[in-house]
Amino acid sequence: MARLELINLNKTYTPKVIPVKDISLTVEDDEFLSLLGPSGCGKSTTLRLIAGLEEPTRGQIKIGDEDVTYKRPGDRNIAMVFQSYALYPHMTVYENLCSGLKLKKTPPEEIKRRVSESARVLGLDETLMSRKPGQLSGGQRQRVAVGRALVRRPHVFLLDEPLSNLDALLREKVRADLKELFASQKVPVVYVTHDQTEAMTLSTKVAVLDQGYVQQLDSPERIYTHPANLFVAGFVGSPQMNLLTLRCQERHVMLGDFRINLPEGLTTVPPNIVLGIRPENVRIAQAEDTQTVKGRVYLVENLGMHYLVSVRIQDSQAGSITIRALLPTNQAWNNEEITLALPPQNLHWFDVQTGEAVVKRQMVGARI
Amino acid sequence: MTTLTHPPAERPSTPTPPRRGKFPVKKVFLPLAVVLVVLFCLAPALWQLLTSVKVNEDISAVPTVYFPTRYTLSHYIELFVRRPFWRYILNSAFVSVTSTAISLAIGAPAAYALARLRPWGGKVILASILIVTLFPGILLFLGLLEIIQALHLGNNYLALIIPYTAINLPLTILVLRSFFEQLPKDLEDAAKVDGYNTWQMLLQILLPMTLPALVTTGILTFIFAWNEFIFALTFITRDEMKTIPVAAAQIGGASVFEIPYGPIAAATVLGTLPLVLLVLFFQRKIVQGLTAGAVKG
Amino acid sequence: MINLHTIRGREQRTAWVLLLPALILLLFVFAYPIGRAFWLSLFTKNLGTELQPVFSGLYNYVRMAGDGRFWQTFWTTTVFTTSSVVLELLLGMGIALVLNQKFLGRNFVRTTAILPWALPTALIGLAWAWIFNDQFGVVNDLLRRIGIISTGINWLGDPGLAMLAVILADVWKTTPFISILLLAGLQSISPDLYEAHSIDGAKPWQNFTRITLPLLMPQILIAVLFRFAQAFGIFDLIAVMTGGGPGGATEVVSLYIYSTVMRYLDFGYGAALVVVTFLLLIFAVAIASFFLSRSRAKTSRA
Repeated sequence: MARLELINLNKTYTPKVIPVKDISLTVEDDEFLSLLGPSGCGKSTTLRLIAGLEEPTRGQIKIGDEDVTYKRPGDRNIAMVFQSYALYPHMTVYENLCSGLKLKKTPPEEIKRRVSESARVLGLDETLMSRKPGQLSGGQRQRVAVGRALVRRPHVFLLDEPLSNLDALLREKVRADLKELFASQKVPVVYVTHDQTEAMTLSTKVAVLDQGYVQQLDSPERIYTHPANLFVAGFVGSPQMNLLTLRCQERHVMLGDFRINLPEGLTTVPPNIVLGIRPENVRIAQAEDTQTVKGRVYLVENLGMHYLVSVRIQDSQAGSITIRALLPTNQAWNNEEITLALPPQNLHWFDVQTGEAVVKRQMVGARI
Repeated sequence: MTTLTHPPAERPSTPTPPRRGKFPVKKVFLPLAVVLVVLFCLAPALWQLLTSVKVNEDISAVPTVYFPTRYTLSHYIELFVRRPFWRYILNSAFVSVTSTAISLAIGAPAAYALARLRPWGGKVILASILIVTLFPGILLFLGLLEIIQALHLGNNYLALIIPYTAINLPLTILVLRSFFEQLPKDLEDAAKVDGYNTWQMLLQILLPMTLPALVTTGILTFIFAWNEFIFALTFITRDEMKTIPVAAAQIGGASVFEIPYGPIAAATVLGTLPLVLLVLFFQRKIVQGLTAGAVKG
Repeated sequence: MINLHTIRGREQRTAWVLLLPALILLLFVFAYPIGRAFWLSLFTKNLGTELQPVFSGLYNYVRMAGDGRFWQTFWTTTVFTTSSVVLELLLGMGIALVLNQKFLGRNFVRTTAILPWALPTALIGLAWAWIFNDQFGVVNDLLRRIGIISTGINWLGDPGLAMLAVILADVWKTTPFISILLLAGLQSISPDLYEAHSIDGAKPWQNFTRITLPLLMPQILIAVLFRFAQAFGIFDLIAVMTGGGPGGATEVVSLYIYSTVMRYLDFGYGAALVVVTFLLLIFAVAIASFFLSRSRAKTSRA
C-alpha cells in the first residue's frame, strides 16, 4: 500500500519564477496519473519535487502516509525513468540495471532474479547485458531505463516524457507496451508528458496543469467530454475545440443571424459567454436539427478519413465568425454554402472572465 | 552586338579569417611564416641538444661549429658519474607526481562543489581563487620560509610538495569545474534516485567520466611542479635532494674558471625530455585545459 | 545556521565539506604568507637586531621611499614587464593569425608552439645564456658571419644589452603561450561575421580592426593581466641568466626581495617590499577587471 499524496505544493525560485504555485493531488495504488500540460506549466518541476530532486518551498509530499517532503531521493523508495534515459555510460547494461539494488545491499541472488525477470518482461536479450549503453539503439536504451526502474520494485514510479526521444512508429509500440506493463504492477505511476495521446491512452487519471496550477483532475474521458475550463477545453482534443465569444441576449446567444439557446440551469445571464464545440461534434444539418447555422466554406483540409472544413459565418457585430468542422469524406455539401448543426448536448459554455465551465452541459436528448 | 556583362559582385570565395596587411600573397608568405614560427620555437632547445653531444673542442670553437664533428656522450656520462643526476630526476619526479596527485584529490571535490552544489559564498571563493593565480612565488616565499624553518622542514620533500599542491589548486579547480558544469545533469539525478550519496556519486559515477579532464589537469600541474624554481632553490639545499632545474643551474666545473657548457647542455636536455614527451603525446589536451581555465576567467 | 533537515541544507553541508581541504590549503599557502608579510613589515628584523623582531611601525616604508636601489629595481621591472608584454602581444597575435589558417602539419606546429612554455624556465635561461655567450654564443657568431660586428658583443656583461637579452628570452618563452590563448579566441569568432563584413565591402585590415580586435578584447585583456603579473614577479629566468647583473642592470623586484632576505637577512624590510609589490598587483588587477567587464558588456551588446 503506497498511496502518493501531494498537499499544497509550491516551488518558488524567485518572486518572478514560481513554476509550481499550488498543487494537490492523490494517486492510489493502481492508478496511472498523467501530468499533462504545455511547456512551462510546472509538470516536470512537480515530478522532481515528488522524486526529491528539488525541495518544495511550501507543501507536503506523502508516500504511503509517510512524510517524505525532505527525504533524499534514495530514501523515498521511488524509481524514475528520465527523458534522456540517463544510463551510466561507463557501466554495462547489467550493472546499470542493478546499481540501485547494489546500493541497498540486496543479496546477489535476489538481484539476479529481479534482473532476469525484468529483462524478460521488457524483451531485453541476454546478449545485451554485457554491452555498454553507447552500443545500444535508442529503443533498447529506453527499455533498459524502464528496466532499471522496474528492478527496484519501488513504491512509486515516476516517468518524465520517456517516449519523446523515440521516433513516431516506435513510440506507438512502446506506448502500448508500457500500458500493459504498468497495468500488471500495482503501484502508483506518475507520468509527465505534453502529448495528449499518451496521456489519454495510458492513464486512469489525468491532471491538466497550467501556470503551476492543476486545471482539472479527472479521468481521460471526462477531461475530454467535460473540460472544467477554457484552458483544458482548448488544450485537449485535436483538432482544437471551436471557442467562440458571443454576446448574450435574454436566453440565447447570436451566432451570426442564428440563435443558439443558452443552457438551462444558468441562473444569471452574463453579457458575454464563450461557446465551445469540438469540430468532430459539428455536423452537416439534417432535417430534424433545430439549432443550425449557415455559412460559407473557405478552407478544406483533407486529413485522410475526414475533411477539416473551415466555415465563415456572417455576423453583424464581429464581421465574421469561423467554425471548423470535421466531416467524414463520404458526405457532400453545396460547394460554398453549408448548413451545420450544433447539437446542444455537445455544447460547452465558459465564463468569459474566469474561463470556468459555466454549467454542466445538457443531458443528451433534451431539445429546446 | 556585345552583351553587357556586369562586373562580378564583390564576394569572397571562401570565408577568410583576417590577415594582417603584411601578407598580401598568402601562398608565399604563409609557409614561410610557419617555418619561421617553428624554427623560433625549437631553436634554443635544439641548440642545447646539439651542444650536449659535441666534444669540448667543438663547443669552445670560434667561429661556432654548428654540427658536431664528432659525437660524444661524455657529458651525459659525467652527469651521472660525477653528480647524482639519477637522484635529481627522482626528486623532480617524486615531488611532481605527488603534488599532482594530491592536487587532483583535493581539487576535484572542491571543483564539483563549486560546479553543482552552489554553496553560500561560492562566488567569493571563485573570485579569490582566480585572483590567487596571479600571485608570483616571490610574494609567498618569505612567509613560507619562516614556517619551514620553524617546523624544521628544510630539505624535506614536504617543503616542496605542500606549496606545489597549493599553487596548482586554483588551476585544477577552475579547469575541473568548467568540466563538471558540462556534464549532463540527468546522470546525477538518476544516481540520486538510485540512492548514491555525494561521495559515492563522485567516485563511482562522475570520476570515470571526468578521466580525460583529470589527465589534462594532471599534465598541467605536473609541468608546473617540474619547472618550479624559487621554492626548490630556497627550501632544498642538500645536493642529493635537489630538483633538476636547481641542480642544473648550479652545475659547476672542475676548476673555478671552467664552466661546463657540455654537461649543462646535457642536463638541460635530460631535464626537458619528460616534458617534451608529454607535450608530444598530449598536445591537444594541454591546449584544451589551458583555454578552458583561461576562458572561464 | 544550516538546516540539516532540508535537502538544500544537506547540500550546503556537503559542499563545504568538499571545499574545506582545498580552502585550508589555499589559505595556508597563500593568505598566511601575505598576511605575515603585512605584519612583519611593521618590524625590523635583521642582523642589526640579531634577528629578533623589533617593532618599528612604518619605518620600513619610509626607508623604501628613499631607497634608490628599490626605485631602480622598480623601474627595471617596469621596463622589462612592459617591453615583454607588448612584444609578446604583438608577436603572439601575429602567430595566432598564422596558426588560424588551415595548412598541412598544423598540429605539429601547435605542438612546437607549446614547447617553449612547457620547458623549465631555469633550464631555458641556461640555454639562452649559452646562446648569448660572448665568446662561444650563437648570436655573436651569426652576427660575425653576417659581418655586422667583428668582435663578440658581451651581451650579458653590458647593462643595456643584458636587458635586451633577458627580454628576448622571456618573449621567446611566453609568446607561443599567448598565441595559443589568442588562437582559441580567434577560433571562437564565427566566420559568418567576416563574410558579412566582406560583403559590405570591407578590406582585410578593416576586418581585423572592426571585428577581430573588439571580439578578442576579453581574451587579450586576460592574457595581458596574467602576463603582467607573471612578468612583474619574474625570478627564474633572470636569476639564472644574469643574476641581476651586470651591476644591477637587470635586477628586478623579485631578485631584490630575494637577496634582501636571503643574503642580507633583512626580514622586516623584505616583508615591506613584498607588501608593496602585492598592493601593486592588486591595483593592476582592479584596473584590468574594470576594463574587462566593460569590454565584456560591449561585446555582449553586439
